[in-house]
Amino acid sequence: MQLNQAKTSIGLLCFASITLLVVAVLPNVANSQQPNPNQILDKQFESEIYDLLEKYCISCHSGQSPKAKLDLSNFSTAAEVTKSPEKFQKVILNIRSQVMPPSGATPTLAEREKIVNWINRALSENGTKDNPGRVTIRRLNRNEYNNTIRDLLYIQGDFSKDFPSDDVGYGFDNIADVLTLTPLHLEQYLRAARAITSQAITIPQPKIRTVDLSTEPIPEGITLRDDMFGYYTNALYTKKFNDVTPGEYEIEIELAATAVAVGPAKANLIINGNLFQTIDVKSPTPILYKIPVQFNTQEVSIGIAFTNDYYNPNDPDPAKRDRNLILKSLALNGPANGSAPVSESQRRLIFSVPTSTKNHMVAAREVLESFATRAYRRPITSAESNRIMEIYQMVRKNNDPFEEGIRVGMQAILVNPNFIFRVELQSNPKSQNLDSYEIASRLSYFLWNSMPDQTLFELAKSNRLTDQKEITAQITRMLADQKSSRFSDNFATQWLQIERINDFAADPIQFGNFNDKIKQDFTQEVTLFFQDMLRNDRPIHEFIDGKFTFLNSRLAQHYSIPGDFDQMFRRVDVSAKNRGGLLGMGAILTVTSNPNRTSPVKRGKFIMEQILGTPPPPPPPDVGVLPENTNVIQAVRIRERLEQHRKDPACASCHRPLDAYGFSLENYDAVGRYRTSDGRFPVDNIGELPGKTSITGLEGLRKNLIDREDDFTRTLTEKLMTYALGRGLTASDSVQIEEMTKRLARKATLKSIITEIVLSDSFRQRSTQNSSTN
Amino acid sequence: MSKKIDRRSVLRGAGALITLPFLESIAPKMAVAQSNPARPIRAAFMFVPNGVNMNNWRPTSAGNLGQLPATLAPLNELKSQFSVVSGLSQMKAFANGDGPGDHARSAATWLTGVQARKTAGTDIQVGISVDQVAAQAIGNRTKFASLEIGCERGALAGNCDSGYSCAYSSSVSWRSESTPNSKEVNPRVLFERLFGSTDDISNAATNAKRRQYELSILDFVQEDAQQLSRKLGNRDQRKIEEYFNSIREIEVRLQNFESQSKALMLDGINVPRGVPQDRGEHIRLMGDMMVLAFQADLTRIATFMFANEGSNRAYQEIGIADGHHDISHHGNAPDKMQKKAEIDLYHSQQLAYIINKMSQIDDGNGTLLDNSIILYGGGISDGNRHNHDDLPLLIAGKGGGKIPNGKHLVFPNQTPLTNLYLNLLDNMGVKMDNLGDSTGKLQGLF
Repeated sequence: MQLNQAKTSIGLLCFASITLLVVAVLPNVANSQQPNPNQILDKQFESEIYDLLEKYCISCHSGQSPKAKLDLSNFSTAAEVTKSPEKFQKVILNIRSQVMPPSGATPTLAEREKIVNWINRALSENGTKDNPGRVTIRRLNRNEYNNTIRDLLYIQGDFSKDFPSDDVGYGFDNIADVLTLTPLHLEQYLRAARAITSQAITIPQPKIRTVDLSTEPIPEGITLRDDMFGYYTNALYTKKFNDVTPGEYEIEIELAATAVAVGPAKANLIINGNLFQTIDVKSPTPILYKIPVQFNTQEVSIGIAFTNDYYNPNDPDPAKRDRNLILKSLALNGPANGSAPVSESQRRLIFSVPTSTKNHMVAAREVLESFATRAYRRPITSAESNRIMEIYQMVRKNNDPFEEGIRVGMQAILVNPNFIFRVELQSNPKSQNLDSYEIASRLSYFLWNSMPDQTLFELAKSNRLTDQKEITAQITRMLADQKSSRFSDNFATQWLQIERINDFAADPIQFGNFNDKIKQDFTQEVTLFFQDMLRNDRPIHEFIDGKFTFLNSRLAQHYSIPGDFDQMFRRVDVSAKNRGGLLGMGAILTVTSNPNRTSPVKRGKFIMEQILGTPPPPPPPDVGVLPENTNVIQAVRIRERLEQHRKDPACASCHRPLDAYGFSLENYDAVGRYRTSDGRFPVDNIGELPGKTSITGLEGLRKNLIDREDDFTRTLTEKLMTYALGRGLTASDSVQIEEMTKRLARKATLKSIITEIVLSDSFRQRSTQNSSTN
Repeated sequence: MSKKIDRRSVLRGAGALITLPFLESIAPKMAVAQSNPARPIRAAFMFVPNGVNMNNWRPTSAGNLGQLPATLAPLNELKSQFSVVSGLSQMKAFANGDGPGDHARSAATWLTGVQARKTAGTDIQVGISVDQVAAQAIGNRTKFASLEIGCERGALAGNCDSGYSCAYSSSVSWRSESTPNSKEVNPRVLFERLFGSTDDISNAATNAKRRQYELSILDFVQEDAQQLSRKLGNRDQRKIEEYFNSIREIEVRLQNFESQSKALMLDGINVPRGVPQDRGEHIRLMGDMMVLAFQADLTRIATFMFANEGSNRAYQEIGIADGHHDISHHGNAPDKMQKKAEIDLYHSQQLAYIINKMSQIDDGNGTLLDNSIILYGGGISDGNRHNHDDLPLLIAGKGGGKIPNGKHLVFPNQTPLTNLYLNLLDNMGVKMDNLGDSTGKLQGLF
């Protein structure tokens, strides 16, 4: 099974990797023959691996109280390794990151790889990878919700901006287990559903809208009697209409006045704040005035003001003492040219309308069933359909129109757990395979950050998304679609932690010119670069050693790169200008700095974590920190300050690699500008790795990282897989990733990694066990 | 008839501020709805991150408060309205074998007294927090069972602290052991939640119908959730449970309190826009609304995180360009310790504003502050050492008359902080024998 699948995926990859792949699966082929792979591994352990462990590890990691409670002297077979895969994956991490061994004899890179490979093969041979893991049902995060609404209702807008922020796990905001749901969410879902459905669907307004004065707020100077407004002094009453379809209308007002004997009462008609017409009200009994008017906006305010209050209590004629205005009714009639034009989104959503031959219930069911199927991302049951129709009928019984019934029905669907959560039901409890609809959703949320489109739904319906060839074709189609930029932007900013730029408060004294516009440009540079890498299927080593970037005039100026730039970003060859690739980008150099100086440690940490996938352990509490006083910064070279790290062996094991990587980027200040001096010292851009390797400047760093390209490929694959699955990686995933890294070798592109991930068991299956994923 | 609120009393623009006239003019109306003559006890838990500079926080002697230490100086006028509490500790925030991650743990343990499970995502777990114990007992008496507010969103990138999920550092309020409460950081959104948005200010008939429709929608989704729940596994159940609980809370709100809030839908109130850049202004604005919600009895329980734990924000409002977290690791360097004290002072100033405001609001048988319990402080003592014993804490308000004010209350070090919570719960009429690592009520407190 494993073998078949691997072979099929060969065809999808470029030719050159085939040979490598065959090598990688050889141990499986040998499965049926003697000796079995475990015996081979055990033999190798005896002949090679044990010696290495003894030389470098066992003096600390053995005995009564082994360091870090890790005993490496108590196993001698591959089978024993598989009993605690997490433990051995931690061992791999520490060997690779060169954090271990901390002192004494240092293993060569080849020796490190030998140990790591052996552990990996031991894990791989013993079934560690057969558990595809299980994703908890996943609430849509803010971005996913927003994109899904846009695609589901064919409308534009930011619908989740008021939602609580999503918690982050494993560096990403789409991790099922930390995407909790609280009443605050539900409150916002209800509110958003209302706003969304009223934006998508307009309700045809009755020709005449009559204002019920008895329920209106009563303005000062006016009193309500017999459902009429009496103006007892000069006063203004204003009514707002929020949903006026532009067109020709008639305003219908019934007005009367008292004491008209002293002259007509003047009623000013005020439309949208401007005096439109003055009406002389001469009749003591209400008279209907019809005033034609053209409205061009959705929001309209109609005001009626009484302006010539007259009061003379001493007049002998009681009919001449107190002139007041009376408003009996107000109505808006129109538009003259019929009902509102129906929007494109409405036409698509309400594709079936009641007619003389089609009952409204039939039309509503068609519309709501289709909507629910798309919203739940799977076919709905008849019971579900019936329940939705109950909502629709309840609305109609309240004398609300067809469209309102549809709106409320849709609101119910948008608050439904089947929409809010991405549910994988596993109809067949015996099979780990996801069904076609579930794969469609996994694909679309991975690559589009949204629901499946019509094509994916159709493929799911005909159950073709279990076919690898079809899936691969879909990956190509989906990445070519504009919607894949949602993946680029989301993934790139989270992988590279670029979101943090928004919280970066640069010291205004040193970096007065640094502002929010440059922060935006920084982010854009990263996302454009990532999109370019994806769209042009460039090998991922160009993230490290690419000779180009994207600049506009502001960013070029910030980087001091001369040339002809304007506001638009364009692709620029920067090989000779100390830029190019991710590590020359302001965004990354800045999020890894302190507000007032560079931090070689933070930069080193970033490289070890996000690029090489070997995060150093966190520092113990109560560690000293570098003196921060400005005088000290200027008086002492940063290297001398960091020298403390190497004096103390407890610090040195982690800080040697950290500082080495960080120092190589010292040519870039805390806001990513190139520099050759730091304060009054020339920049010191040489980092020294364990084993007497040194890295000088960005160029040296690139070379070092390219030498470790496999580590980069593995790291990027891990990050992509975490993002794709929405959960932390398991031992099984890691074993698969090791295999992918070997298959991809130096030809990896974003697309080839994505394809590997999508075709993996972890992506297309779900463990039937209910146990924890870790 | 309808008393219009002066638009000018509400400052416009991004840093909109709701000023006193606003509070006074709208609150009494709402208070009328409450016929109960004995005013309820309100509780707020206000959190500051990264410990404090203890030299400038801890009063030198126990007993009556004398000369206040520098960080507490802004509260000088209010000296008879609060007590400083020393010696309380959260021992479950120490590593206890879990290694680094003191920041994440300190926030997660602060109101729970439980050791947080070390995970970056899978199976986050700590315990129910004291505010939620109270909310679940008495929250159904108000429109909002509890209010969770703060000034910083949950982290948007990366691990928050040494392998702990960001949920720990950005939440002190936990509805259940696995569900942190989301907090609101945007003053505009908070305002709309409490008082309704402009489109809510439509006529009564529309509102009543809408409520009816929403209740039907909630019925409908509950049925579907039950159907779904039957087909799901254990971990999924947990998520569906969160969904059910949320539905129920909203349902209660719609059934019992919508009419009450209509009184709030007043014309002419300007809604605050966006989030102020200035942290002090942001804290005061959120604080204003918390006080208003207490005053109007929209809720009786609130948690308020001035910043997330481990926050590395620079306080440029007061000329501090380094990040708060970086500074808190002062290594006993005097200049850094000074900066830490300045940030602590800045937070105290905002606290003083909020307490002062509460002390001036009439609440039937006393002031709003008299009928409240405000716990202020953090889950780390000295930011440099990351220790979680002898925490910097302060209680303001009399809690209906039982809490001693004007004192420095010193308990033996390592007394569980959760013991205090048992007293507070008791004071609010919530019987609870045990919370997290509690060992019994504090004796001789009240």
